[in-house]
Amino acid sequence: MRRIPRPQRPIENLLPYYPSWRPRLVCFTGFPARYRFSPTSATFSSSTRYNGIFDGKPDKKKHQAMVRRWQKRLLGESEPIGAHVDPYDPTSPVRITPEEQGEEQEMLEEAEDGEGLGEYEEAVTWDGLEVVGGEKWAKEFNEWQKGDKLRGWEGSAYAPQTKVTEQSQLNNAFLRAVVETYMLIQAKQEPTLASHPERFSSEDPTWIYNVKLHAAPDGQLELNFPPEAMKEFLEEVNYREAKEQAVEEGLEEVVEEYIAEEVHAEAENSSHEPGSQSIDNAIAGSTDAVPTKAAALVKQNEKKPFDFMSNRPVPRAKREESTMTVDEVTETTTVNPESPSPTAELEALASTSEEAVATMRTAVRNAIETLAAQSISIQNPTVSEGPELVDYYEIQLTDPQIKFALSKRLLQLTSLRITDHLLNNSSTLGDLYTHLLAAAKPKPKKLIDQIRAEGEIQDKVKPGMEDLLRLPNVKLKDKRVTKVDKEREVGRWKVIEYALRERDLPVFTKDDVVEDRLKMERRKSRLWARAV
Amino acid sequence: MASAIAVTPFRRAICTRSITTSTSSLASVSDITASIDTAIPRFPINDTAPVHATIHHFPSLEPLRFQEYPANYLRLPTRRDILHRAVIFEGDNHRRGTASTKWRSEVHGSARKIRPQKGSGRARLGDKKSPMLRGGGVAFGPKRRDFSTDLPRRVYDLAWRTALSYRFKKGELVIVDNAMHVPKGTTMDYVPEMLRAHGWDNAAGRSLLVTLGPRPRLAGLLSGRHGRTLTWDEVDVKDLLELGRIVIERDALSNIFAMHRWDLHKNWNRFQVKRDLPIAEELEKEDEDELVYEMEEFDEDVEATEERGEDQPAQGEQSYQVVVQGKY
Repeated sequence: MRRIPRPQRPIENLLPYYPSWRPRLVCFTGFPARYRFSPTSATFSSSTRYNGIFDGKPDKKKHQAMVRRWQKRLLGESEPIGAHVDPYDPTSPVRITPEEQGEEQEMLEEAEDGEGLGEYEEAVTWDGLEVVGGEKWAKEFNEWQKGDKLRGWEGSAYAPQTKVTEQSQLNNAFLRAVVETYMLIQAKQEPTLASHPERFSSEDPTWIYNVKLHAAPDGQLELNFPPEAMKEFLEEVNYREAKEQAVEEGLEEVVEEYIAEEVHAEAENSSHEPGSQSIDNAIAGSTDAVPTKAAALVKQNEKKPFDFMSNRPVPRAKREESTMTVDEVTETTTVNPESPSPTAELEALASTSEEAVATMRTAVRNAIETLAAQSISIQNPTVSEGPELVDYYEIQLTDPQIKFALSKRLLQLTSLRITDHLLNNSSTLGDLYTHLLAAAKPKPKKLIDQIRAEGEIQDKVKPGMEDLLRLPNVKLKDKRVTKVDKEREVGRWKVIEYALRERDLPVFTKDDVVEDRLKMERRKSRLWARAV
Repeated sequence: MASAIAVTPFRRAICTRSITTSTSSLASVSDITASIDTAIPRFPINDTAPVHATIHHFPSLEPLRFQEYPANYLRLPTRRDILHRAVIFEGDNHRRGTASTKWRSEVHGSARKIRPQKGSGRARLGDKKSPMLRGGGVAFGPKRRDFSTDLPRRVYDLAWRTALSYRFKKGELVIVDNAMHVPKGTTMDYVPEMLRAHGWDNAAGRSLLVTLGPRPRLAGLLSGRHGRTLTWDEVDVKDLLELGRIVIERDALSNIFAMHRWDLHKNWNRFQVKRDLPIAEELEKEDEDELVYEMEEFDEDVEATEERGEDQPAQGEQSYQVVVQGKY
């Protein structure tokens, strides 16, 4: 409790005392009686007129006597404790705290809050408690959270931010796009698999430079590559797609779906393409490598597959739990319609995920190897013969799907867009390459540069543009013409400048005007800053 | 017209084209009057072949697929005269024509002759409303009138498709597959940043975003500095030619084609026009949820207050009676 010292002098001083002036205290009826504010001790004045005004020494003594007289009348004969006591003496009775004396102490409201509630009792029912949870609360909570983390734009674009402009890099990017697309075509896969959003990587894989391009007599492109290259490439492409699928759907669902697809794939083999079928079979076959868990999974979870190839971090379950679930799984030999929860099985898989993934990978690799071997043997019987491709213009581009795939992959690698009109009109790979280089060239931003390009540069001469540059009554300027320029032409500017400096006036040249403009624009752009 | 063209690798093509006196009706104007010496061998392009346009995903702008459009939709030659006629026609029809002045007969005032015909030594004057005098009427000033002109519907529709073909040819037509819908909970600079990332903003000449239906969040976040957003039925030929590029939703483009092909098909089918129902529903649903949420809260309070009476505090609230005495 906070001890409020009692003043020995009256608090109200100097002003004459009128009862009507005294502010009444506010009483809160809601509180128990003991918390009612009691008036302070010295709210009365003991002198009649000259309250607290001391004229001189004799009056002071008289005043003190008067005070003592009234104190006796009101509070009783006894002197107040500590009247003639030295407060600094450690043994003095002034040092006795009022609580020890048993007097009432004034307390502030702050100290009273906790005491008024009483002792803590754990609630048994929910009556009167603050409700947290439920749809409405969840909505509010989400909105509150979103308010802190607003979604920004960064990173949502498909094309990379920086455009590739260097010639050698463009050459490499073009070669890579061509090789990847045609390899997928040869593998009878979707050519746009190469330009999957997750597939962007800055470095070219080394095997691309080992691939040799040959032009067939009918104008088609043929590739000569080692089988490991095709294997690696297909693995990477499918791995990415599968990973994206797994990430999208969530691990539990992915387990069930994948298994279901496997089951279906095994059941309906005839309609599938050879490539995908063999991969499916390979993966199905690879489950036998981990017989107990995988086989049980195949039997029990018939809804959604699990992507063994995905690199998504799966939380590791405790060893004990996983062994428990594994035992349960192995014991049940018959197909159980009500399977154990997928999460438990996932945790089982997670605990031995490394082994499983390794076995999956080897199985997939074997499958892809066979697939690649098949495709090579069918597609390119005479690959090693024939001269190597020298000119991109020899390869015809008739299939719009190939064009689309190439342009999409080029966009992903270089962030350069080839317009639809140019794509429609390009009939060879050489055209596409030319358009790519043209897109990499920066377009002239000023009209004067555009006019000069169209009028002077030999390849792009537009009829009439040369004349425009040579017209006698037309002047073409690089920068905006201002009054200063006009004055300079005539020769008046130096005179004006001299006169301004003579009078200590500001001299505004064109650069100052330009700077002001930039400042204004910067000020405007600050208005569009991120709102938090 | 006959033209025999060698179909070989085109790099060093030898065009064996017979001399013709008339060009194809769809070909752009070419100088057939040029002599053999100055003739530049041109790669023969089939002007009637359909056009492949890339359909993109919004907002990532990932190319999704090619979509075929007929040549007389997006491969029309650039007829600048037709575009000019269409722009003038639209401008005329948009004129308010509300300029109005008072002629001398309409100015408020009497017809009294101000001074006698002869004898004053000054010029002769009639009433004070003459345009020669200050405060008089305007001499043949403008009156409210209708400035609208007519343009054959077929020409106007051809101009529409010519404008789109021109934009497509220059690579300034971006077709987007899904709705250009900005979700809730984005930063204020989401749309300007997106435009900047795609090269569609003020620095690149601003963009016109054409949508199937109203997109209030997109419109709210898009400042006029970087472009405009309009629905497909609000767009004009002038709007299509004005800004740096057009970003259009695929269904909006289909609607425009359906409404502007009078020169191709006389009886255009109204029912082929696609409405914005799915997106509108989605957007309305979002707003609906908000409204319902608020209404529920309000209803609860109303019921509770009715039960207990307005003066009593709500459940769970303490009541404090403040007693103030004195003469304040």
